Amino acid sequence: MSTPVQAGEQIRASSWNAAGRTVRALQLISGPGVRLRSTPNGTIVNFSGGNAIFLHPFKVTLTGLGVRVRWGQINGVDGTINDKLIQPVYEDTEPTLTVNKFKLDKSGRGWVAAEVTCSPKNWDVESWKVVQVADLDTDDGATAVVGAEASGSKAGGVPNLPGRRARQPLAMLVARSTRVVSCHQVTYFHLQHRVRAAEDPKADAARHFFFPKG
Amino acid sequence: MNVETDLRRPFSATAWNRWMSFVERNRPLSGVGCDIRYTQDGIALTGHGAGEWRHPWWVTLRWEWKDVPTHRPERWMAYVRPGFVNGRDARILRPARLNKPEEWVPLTSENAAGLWMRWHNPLAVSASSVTLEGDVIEGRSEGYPVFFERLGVKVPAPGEPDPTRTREIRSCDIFLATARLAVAQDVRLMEPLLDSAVVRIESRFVSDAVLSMQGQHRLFATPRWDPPLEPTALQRLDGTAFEPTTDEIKIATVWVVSPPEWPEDEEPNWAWTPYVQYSVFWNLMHASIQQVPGVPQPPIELRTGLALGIADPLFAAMIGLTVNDPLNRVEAYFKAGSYKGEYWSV
Repeated sequence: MSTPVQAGEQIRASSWNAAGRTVRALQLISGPGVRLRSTPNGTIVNFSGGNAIFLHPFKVTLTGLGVRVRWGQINGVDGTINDKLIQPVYEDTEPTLTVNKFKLDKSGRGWVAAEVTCSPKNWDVESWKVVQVADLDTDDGATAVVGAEASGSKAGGVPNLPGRRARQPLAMLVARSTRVVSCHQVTYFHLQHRVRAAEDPKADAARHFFFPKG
Repeated sequence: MNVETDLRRPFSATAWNRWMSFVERNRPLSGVGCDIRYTQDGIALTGHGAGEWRHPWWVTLRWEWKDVPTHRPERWMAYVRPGFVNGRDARILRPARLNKPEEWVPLTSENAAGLWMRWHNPLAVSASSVTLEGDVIEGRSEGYPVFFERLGVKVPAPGEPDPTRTREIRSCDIFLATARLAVAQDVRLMEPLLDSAVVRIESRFVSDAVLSMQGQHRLFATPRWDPPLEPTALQRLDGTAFEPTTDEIKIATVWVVSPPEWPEDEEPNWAWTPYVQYSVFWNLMHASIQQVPGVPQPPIELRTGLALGIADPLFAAMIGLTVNDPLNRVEAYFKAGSYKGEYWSV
């Protein structure tokens, strides 16, 4: 490291040249996996290489027009894809939800969700399955109004659907301008499920709450 | 580029400018898959293939140089990795540009904007005060996490200055806001000048934020974030309560540390080193505690025991005397009419 100069001190040619050599040595040179782009304000450094992979419950993976979901439980209940059980380990092929076309709303967004069905007696989780929808809160998963963006519950939580069903988002799908659909994970943990029922016990109206299993 | 010179020729402006241009061109900037950290001892480059998993709400700090054509000043900007609330992506404000007005865009958007960092100084000293006994209470600095002591950040007041610790520090908070239904009370005395008076408490919805934010969850940056304050029971009772219209949660605090012996009054620039302290690591769910009804609760009426006294028994009960039936009714009424929400991770 060079010694700082003091005010009024002469800068000798030898010092100046040494500083110049140091600056020259700081020039950026690309190596394997590195691309450099030089601009007047600096050199942009680009690395090629993947992020670390984090395997967790409910991890959603897109395989072309197919959706796979890693094993996860809701209130200890295993889910299904196309009536095939989602398991920690498979002896044969992993179940895949195949779609002809991803269901997306006006803003190009859709969801892979866990659709839970509750018991008519006591609201326990009877079963759940993986679905791909354009709107989490409508009965058929399509957007409530043609051309609209997907709605959201104004009170929060997950609204109840007819038949004592509810959808917890596992991942959001976003259509890009390049026609590629990207997948953004929403849920990372095994889940617990509780319900706040309506005042009238015969009514279905309720809110569902999903939270991580401790 | 030849930078050699000799004693016989003066060093020309052309040569100097060429040299500076060379230095500026070789300054590394963060591109695809690359993180850059400027330190006092050098510039650390990290590729994403190095193995770090980025959780939702991951914050990347970037120094943006002045852009002359658009008059954009140089500044620190924070870019937030997409995070979700109730499965919906949070939104960030994209400033107006060219012929397009400002717009709240999703974090998953291809051209999501960043947050402009505006700094708070945790080393600033609050004013001194004097007690009634004449004791002087020295001003104090807010301070910072212990982690920064080892980096040589200045000692916060009223600590003794340490000549080996000369670095400045600044902070900026990033928080998420969700609109909620607020409730305001109108309290009216219905029958004054009689043996007893009737107090009528009526509620009305305040839905300004719900209407303006349209159900969106929005990210903001502020020098210092404080959680919204809920009104007290007494404020509700005398009709002066102002409920917050948003639920908020702090996502992260961005800290920047200066090189040694940096002037106190200068703003952070590219030579400072950023650090991010996270308060939230996972996606969130949000819901109001109470179920939101279609209309506000019906008003309640209370008959008090004093002529001209508006609610003296109620106030007396609230400051620690016996709890009575009117107080219970009022407390239950306020509790049922609060739509404050909570966040939890998922």
